[in-house]
Amino acid sequence: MNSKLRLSDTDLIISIKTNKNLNSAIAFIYEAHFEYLSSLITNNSGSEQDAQDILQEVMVDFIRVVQSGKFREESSVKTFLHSMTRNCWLNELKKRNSAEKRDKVFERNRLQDDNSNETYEQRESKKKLLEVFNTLGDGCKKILTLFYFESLSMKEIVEQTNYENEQVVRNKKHKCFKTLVALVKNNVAIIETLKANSI
Amino acid sequence: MTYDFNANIDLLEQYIDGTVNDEERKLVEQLLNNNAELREAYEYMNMAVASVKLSALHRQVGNIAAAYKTGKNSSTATQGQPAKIRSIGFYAMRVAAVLAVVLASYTAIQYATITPDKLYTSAFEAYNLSATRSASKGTDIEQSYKMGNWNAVLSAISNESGQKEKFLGGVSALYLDKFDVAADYFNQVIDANKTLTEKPYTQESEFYLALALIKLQNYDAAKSIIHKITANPDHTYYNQVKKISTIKTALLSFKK
Repeated sequence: MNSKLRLSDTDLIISIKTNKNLNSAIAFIYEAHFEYLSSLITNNSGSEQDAQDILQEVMVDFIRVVQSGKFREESSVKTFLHSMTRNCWLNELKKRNSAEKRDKVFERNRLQDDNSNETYEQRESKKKLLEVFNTLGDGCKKILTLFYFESLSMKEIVEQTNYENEQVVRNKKHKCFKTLVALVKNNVAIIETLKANSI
Repeated sequence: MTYDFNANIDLLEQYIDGTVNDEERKLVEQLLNNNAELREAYEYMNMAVASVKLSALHRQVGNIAAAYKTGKNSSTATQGQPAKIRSIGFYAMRVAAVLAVVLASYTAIQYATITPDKLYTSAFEAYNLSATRSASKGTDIEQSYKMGNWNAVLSAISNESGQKEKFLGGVSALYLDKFDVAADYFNQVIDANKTLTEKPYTQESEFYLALALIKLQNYDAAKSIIHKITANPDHTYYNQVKKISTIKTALLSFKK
């Protein structure tokens, strides 16, 4: 990937907010900021794999913050990503129970922008939420993703799957959704944290 | 009203999916206000939807991250390799072959993947009201529009509203996925301008009307507007409409 696309912070935020050219926007963030953000982790006890994992998580969180209208644009995208990366890595170190490393890592002057400061509990809850979804069968995962993420109509889902007609898709989607809701409900720990933090 | 929890759960799912009518929506909102059990079920459902979206977004970002990593590795791997000398004919044939494959692949991929939603999303651009340095902050409708309060914009529009207000109403309706309402407002602006020398918001309305018609799957009408815009390089949305192209709209017609 070697896109020459260049976006201002404003254009980038609009792209993410409107979900327009989201792939290009994500690719641009990787090209513009990956090396720098990655170095924050690799220069502070992390491996390259750590950097890749953390930055993927940061990217997802950044998109969700922007799309929910919580990015206040008081700081630049780079500064915000820096703050998110640092907090996410600190949380990871906390999880690894390495207090010594945590204390040494990064400068002490934390930024005031709390939107970038996800708690350890929130992060773990989201992981749990992902795990819950991944326990569904492939058929359910696909149909729910096409419906809720891609926002496809039943007719369009029929075209993209092997189901016979819209009614079959509708029934299948309803059944899958009920299963997923039951799985979420059974994970009380997730519920409480998510309720408290409105993820 | 008799209370049937299971029936209401199904209704709640339809509410989340946005497939209820106005009467059902009001009923659900009333039930949610008055019934803690149903409210809890609603929270579970919202979390379930959040898990779907979160997972899909993770996968989307993961794919791009993998592509970025692959691109970086391949560019590193090719550094320092001596370039092979080839004839111009070799390159011409190779380019032609690649172009043929790319064209065929492009058409096949477009046909397989294109949807009204994707076409709409790829061409849609936010309409921003230009900032003014004057003391006036604009009409209530303009203020509501700037604040992104789309419902307030629609509520404030009347038959007496001018072209600008109706155009903003159309864009607001697009944001609310009320595409038939949007098309109606854009048509009103275009019709009102037919007898005027100056035609305020006609070109803007044409562009957004084409998008609304794509969403409404009225591809013939959309193609007609796209033709009109692409025939006029001076049209404000000439470049933007080129992204839609009549080919993509035609592919959608075939799929319909």
